Amino acid sequence: MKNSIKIERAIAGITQEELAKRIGVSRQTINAMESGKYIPSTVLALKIAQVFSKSVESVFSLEERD
Amino acid sequence: MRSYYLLPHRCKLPAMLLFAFFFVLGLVQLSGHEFDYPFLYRTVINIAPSNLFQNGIKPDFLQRVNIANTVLGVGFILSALMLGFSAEKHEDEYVSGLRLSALSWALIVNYLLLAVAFLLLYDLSFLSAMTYNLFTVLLLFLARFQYLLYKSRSNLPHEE
Repeated sequence: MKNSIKIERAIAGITQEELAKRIGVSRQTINAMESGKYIPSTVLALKIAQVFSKSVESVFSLEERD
Repeated sequence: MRSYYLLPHRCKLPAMLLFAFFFVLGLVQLSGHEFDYPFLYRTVINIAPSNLFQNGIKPDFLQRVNIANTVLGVGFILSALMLGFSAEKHEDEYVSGLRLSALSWALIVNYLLLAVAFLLLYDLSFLSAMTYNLFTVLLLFLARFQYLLYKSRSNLPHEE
């Protein structure tokens, strides 16, 4: 699964740290998701989409191998 | 996401100190030093004494023994569990995932090591390896978990 968290973050002008605080996780978690090393739970994906006021599908999408 | 079976983060530091204490004493004991002091001889309950099934002999459920092994073993196990299962400062689902991954890695490596011991060690050497093996699963888990946490922290890019 790929995501556009980094891009959405740049558009919204917020740092990893700020996003982490807003959804109640550590900065490592945001970094791991952005670098594709961690696939978040549905709850976390929904929270992230909510921060950017977008639907989950526009932030997260399936890849060929999924 | 809620993490289960975790102690609060404030347990981490006492757990570290206790673990270091029992780990060092354990190494001293394994290196051949015997903790043989009068105050360590206590009366204990042995639920399976060696004469349990001998006819006509009353089993020795109460025995006076050196409890150094008991204290070290229980202390090591409890402090290691406390250390591995105390919440991190920023405990979240990613950290839970790292903990579970470290646990499964430790279990696999531990049993592979035991399989090697079965193949290559016999008699008393095998018994010693079994004794070590009781503790290696916890040691491998702690080492792997700390390594994964360290790696996730060191990969963080600098940001304003």
